[in-house]
Amino acid sequence: MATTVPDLQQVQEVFNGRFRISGPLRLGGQALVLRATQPVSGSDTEQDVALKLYLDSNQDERVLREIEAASRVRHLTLANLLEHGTVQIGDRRFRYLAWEFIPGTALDSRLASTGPVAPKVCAVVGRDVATAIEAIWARRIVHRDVNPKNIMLRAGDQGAVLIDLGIAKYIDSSPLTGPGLTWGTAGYLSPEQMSGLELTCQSDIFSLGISLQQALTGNHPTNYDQRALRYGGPRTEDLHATAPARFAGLLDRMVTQRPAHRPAPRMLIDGFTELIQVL
Amino acid sequence: MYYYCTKLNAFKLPPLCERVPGGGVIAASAVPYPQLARRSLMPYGHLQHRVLDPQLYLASLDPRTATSMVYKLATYPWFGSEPPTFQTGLHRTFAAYKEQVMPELLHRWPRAVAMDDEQIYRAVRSCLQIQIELGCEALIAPSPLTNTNTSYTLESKYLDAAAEVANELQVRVPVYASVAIADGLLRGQDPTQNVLLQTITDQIASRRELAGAYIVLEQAVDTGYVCVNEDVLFALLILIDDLSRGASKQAIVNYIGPFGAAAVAAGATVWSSGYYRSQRRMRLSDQEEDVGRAYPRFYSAALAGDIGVQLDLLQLSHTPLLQQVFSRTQASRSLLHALQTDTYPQSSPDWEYRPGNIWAAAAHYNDVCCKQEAFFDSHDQRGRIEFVDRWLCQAERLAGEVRRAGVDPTHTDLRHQSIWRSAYQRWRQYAQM
Repeated sequence: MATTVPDLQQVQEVFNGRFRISGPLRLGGQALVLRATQPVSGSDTEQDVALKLYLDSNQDERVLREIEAASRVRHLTLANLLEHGTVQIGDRRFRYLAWEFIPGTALDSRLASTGPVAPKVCAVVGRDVATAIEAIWARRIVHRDVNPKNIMLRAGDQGAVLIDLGIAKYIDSSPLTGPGLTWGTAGYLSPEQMSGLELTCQSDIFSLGISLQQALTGNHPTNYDQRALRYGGPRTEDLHATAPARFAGLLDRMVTQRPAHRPAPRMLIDGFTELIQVL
Repeated sequence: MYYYCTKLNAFKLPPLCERVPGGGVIAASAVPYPQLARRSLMPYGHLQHRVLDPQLYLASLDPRTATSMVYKLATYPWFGSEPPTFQTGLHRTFAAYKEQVMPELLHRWPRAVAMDDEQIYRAVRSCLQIQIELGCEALIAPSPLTNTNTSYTLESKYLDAAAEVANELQVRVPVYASVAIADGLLRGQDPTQNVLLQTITDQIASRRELAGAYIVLEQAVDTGYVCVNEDVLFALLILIDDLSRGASKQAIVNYIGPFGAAAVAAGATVWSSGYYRSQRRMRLSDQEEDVGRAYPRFYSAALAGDIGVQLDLLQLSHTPLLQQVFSRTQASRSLLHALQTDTYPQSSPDWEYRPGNIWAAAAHYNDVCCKQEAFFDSHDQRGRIEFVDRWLCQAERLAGEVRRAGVDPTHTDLRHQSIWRSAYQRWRQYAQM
């Protein structure tokens, strides 16, 4: 697998006139994410973008999935795709996606830097990510990788955005994996995702529930042990004895083993909205 | 709520019924569509609350061995036979229509369900449209029979088509997804770990356009009137529990006989049944064979099963057990009198054991089911759960006593009670209810 990271100056030269690169935001195994600005056509202004450069050309299928999924749905609680294409940098061709830049912090970075998140902020994250899950499921897309790394907290904790549809699966598309295998991040997979079953939005709800338990306590509820989630997640009360009871009850239902027993996205949105008022 | 399941085109309740069920399930195979569309349903009190079972799960029937059934089903557009429209001027009578179109319909019968998106959409749309025109109180979306271990992908396409059509037609009544499962898929597996069940309820729970599921278990293996497999019955209760308690959806259960009462205790909103074997169980091979005429059987609510009329009831009439197993209804009054006065069958000709003499037995079955339903209506779920528990425990005890009294299980149902009780109690333990 070729994962050579291109030089930033080279990238700037290639995108000259289209994007102005400010610097790296994140470097992962498969992609380099850069902060950049893009001139807004018909005006003198610029908009901030997150420019994602795929380093591994073997991930083409996955990138196309992301493009397809992102093109199907636009929502305030999802990072919106602005542009996509391929560029030649040196002797290599790279696929790139330009996303709306979300000013704020990824939930995982926030947890690493300041620890647990207040229940009210957790409820905001729950409401907004459930809204995003509902929006993509309306197009029969399952995100399949909801975890703190893919949840952006807007500046001032005013909202949350679900990012990275890189392994999202439109229900009609063929699997990227073999039977019984799955993509996703260990420690956040629903029991049915772990078993390689056909998924619905209820699987994303499970992953969101685990992410929220982690946000509430500052620690992953099973220390990233995926096997411990085989029969569902732990009780919130056992992780955080003073968690507000209604909030804990909602989280407990999100991480139950049987998907039909988890709250539907709409029910969660309503539940978290009520909680935000009282917390 | 107890609904009467129609058989053939006899929509009338048995003549001696004193109680009217809360509603009716009209099976597509009961009557050809042109006939159903033109039939006034006003005279039938129980059909004022009606649903139509599209029975797409019968799509694999062989027209050579199930000719009559296939003809009737093929007149509904969702089976893909492209039925010609009935025209009074052209066809004059339904008999003439049948004579004219049946050979072609049988020839075009695909013996398979629509597979591609466009065909599925058309099938589902026609199905829901017809149910709206028939004034159904809820719509049942068609779905193929699930008889192999699948990822439920094809069935999910039918669910999505139903959701899409419901939005397009701005349907104002609840839309249920058909869930038809061959019982072979549920046997020999711990239902709490059966991923098929989990997938089915997940797929329905996640579609908010769907109010719930209309559940039919195909009784492919057991040959009797009732299901006698504990895993299958427990699986049914889990399906209902997932939908009702888990996803706040509703469940309608058909073709499960008196076990429907246990389904209601587990959270089903409607159970449907009827006296005939074909109203109590769904079995593909039943549609393909000439079953002949039915004999009277006496349904005992206390026993949760039938007692043979010819010999077994007479035998019990000389023991104190008769009082315990005898369910009293208007239709069974003459039978009780005859048994108590040793004048059976002379003083109770409605119950004489001869083929086709089933009206009293059918009315009795209906009235017992309605009575049970009336009890349910006046109790909350907790009360229903306890009632069914006591009922099944009592039925198990009585089955033992009846057997010890020398009654042979050939014509009297004495085998299933302990299985039903065990399945039910396993569900209670699982659901902590």
